[in-house]
Amino acid sequence: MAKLVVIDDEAEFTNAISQFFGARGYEVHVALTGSSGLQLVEAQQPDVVLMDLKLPGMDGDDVLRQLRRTRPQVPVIMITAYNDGGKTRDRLLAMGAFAHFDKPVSSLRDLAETVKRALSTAAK
Amino acid sequence: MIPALFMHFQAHLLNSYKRERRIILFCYAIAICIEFLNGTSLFVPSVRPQMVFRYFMEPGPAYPLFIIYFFICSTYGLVKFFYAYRKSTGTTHNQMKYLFGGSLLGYIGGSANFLPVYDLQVFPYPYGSYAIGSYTLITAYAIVRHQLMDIEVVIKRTLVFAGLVGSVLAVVSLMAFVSQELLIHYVNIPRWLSNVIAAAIIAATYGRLRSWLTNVTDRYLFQKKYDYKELLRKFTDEAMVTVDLKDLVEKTVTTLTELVKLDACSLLLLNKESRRYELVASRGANGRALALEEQEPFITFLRETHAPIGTDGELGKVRYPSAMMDRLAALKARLCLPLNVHEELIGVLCLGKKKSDEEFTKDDLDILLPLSKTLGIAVSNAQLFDDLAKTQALAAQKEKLAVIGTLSAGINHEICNPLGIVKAQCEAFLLDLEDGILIGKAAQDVLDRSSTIMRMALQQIDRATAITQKLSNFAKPIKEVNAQPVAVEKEIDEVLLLVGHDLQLERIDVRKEIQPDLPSIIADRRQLQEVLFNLVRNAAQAIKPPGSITIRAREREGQVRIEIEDTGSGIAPDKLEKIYDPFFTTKEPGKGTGLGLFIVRQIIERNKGRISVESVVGKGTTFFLDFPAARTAAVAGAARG
Repeated sequence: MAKLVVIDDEAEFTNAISQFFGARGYEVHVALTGSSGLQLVEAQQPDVVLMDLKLPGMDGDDVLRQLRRTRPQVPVIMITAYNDGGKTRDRLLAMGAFAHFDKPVSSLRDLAETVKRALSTAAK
Repeated sequence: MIPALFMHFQAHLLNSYKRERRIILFCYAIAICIEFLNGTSLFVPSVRPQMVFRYFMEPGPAYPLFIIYFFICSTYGLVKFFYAYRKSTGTTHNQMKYLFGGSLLGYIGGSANFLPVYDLQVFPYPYGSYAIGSYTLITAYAIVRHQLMDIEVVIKRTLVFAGLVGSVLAVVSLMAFVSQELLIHYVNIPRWLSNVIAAAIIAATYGRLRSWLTNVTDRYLFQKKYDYKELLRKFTDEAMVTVDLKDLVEKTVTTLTELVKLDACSLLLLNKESRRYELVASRGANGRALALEEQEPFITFLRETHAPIGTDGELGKVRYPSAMMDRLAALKARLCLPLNVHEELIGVLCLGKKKSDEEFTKDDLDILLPLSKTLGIAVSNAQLFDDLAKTQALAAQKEKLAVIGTLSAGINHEICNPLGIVKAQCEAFLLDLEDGILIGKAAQDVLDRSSTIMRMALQQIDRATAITQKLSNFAKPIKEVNAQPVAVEKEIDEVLLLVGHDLQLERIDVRKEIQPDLPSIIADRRQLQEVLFNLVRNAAQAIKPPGSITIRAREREGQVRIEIEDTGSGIAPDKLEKIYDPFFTTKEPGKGTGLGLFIVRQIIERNKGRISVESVVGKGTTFFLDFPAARTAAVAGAARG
């Protein structure tokens, strides 16, 4: 069973994500801050990380940077609410994010596809 | 002789001497004739004791002629005084009232003395003689109280003269004493030399002594007048530095009404749009709001001549056309002064009558005319300032809107987050339904889940709505200042909500250190937001990322101090003193109008706050805002209540 860690301070959003992926055979763990997210990743060893950028305390950039350093094999999918015409997307992809979604996410199906793609990439 | 002198007196006083010279000379001639004939049997053939007099005259055959002469002269004078009283206004009116009353009383009393001549002992005889004394008293009162004659000048000159004579005598006798009594034992100073020295001393000190004596007399003897002039002069100075037009015009009419003790005072200013002179401030006048046309004679006169229009003193002698007199009456004014700036008439200052009913004298005009000149400049300055403020408000608004444009990221975030939640929740439910995940679930569970989603969706919609409202509220131009207790932290949060995400994107860390239980301040919350917004944005622009902005707020000696500290490039000391100047900017072209801090300071001062700044080049800048804490205000209010 694939394991996901979702890091986002919008609890209602993480609810929807864990509901959706949980109902489709994933094991989903949720963290609401950057630092607790890093701990969760250490503890759960997930296959894919879904993460927001604006986080209380340590922010998404730093978390991503650290994950890329400590767990380069784990794909990180960024979900942000900036909608700034690709500026943030380009920056995050350059930092090694696997994929980027703007909120509202175009469709959970797209997100699920990307997670699947990430899993198969990671498995290789 | 009395009738002739009385004729002479009234003619001089009523300025009719030239016309009546012949009559007066004739009266004197009669008086001299009677004087010569006095001893003859025609007038007083013999005397007899009567009442208190040992010698009382017996009337001769020509004596009735004297009585007729006496009555003609005195009646003529009295009638003239009465007409002068009826016609005159102000001080003259008062003077004439006393003169007429006094003369009438005096003459009735005096003529009573004719009665015993013919052995008629009826009232008012023998008390009539006392009334003659009252005539002197009443006239003296009119002289002193109502400036019947230039008594002030007389007293002033006399005192100054007496002082000077005294000083001259003192110097001469001192020199004489010193040279002839004290020094005579050592040096032989001849008398003439001591006089020469005394004369030299007097000559050297005379001018100064005189002006000093004049001043002292003015100050102590005529203190009230001096004070009123001094206060008006002070007000003139004050007016020059008042830039708030509303404040200036109100202060002007209030001060003039109080200091000059007027019944009414009003100020009309040219409305540049309607091209009419409209009432902007008034005290006491119950007249309707009157507007004067730019081309009417009253205004043209003031504009062309720069001279006042009035009914008192010298001005009263000018024959104005009736249209102007009507205007004066409609304005309830006794004196109208033009406010000229160069060749333009920007306003009219209208003074009603004095409470004392006294006229406006030359003395008054001497101070009021320069005052109106200064006031013209002051009003024109304030008007320019007013226009500038309007332009500035417009510029501030433009700047604000431009900045809001750059806030898109932050706004996006705040709106897209709730939208993202609603969309994900709804989609998750629908996809579960589509994928058959809900099959076999209890109906109640499905109902519970769908209602939870809807409740949550409504919440998030409200959240998104709130942010759009905040934004539009912030973007709206501030028309009226609405001072009320404001929680500083809440306003800081609202501003950070708008700018925070932008800063995060720019890799600028925002820290907040707010003292718990921070008292509120009294301010316009939208203006406070604008100030914070400007300062935070300035701070961000000074930072080369990464960097941080720290916002602190704490109470300090009854003040709430807000600090906005950045780790930016800092401001050099020579530029630090210019940062509040309008259009001063260190930003690249297009990045700022240079009005930001100028407007910030204005807003802060309007909200009774203060702004100060510290900066170290290369380390950063801190702005300090101090506002009175509302708590102390509340305590003071309670103490009063």
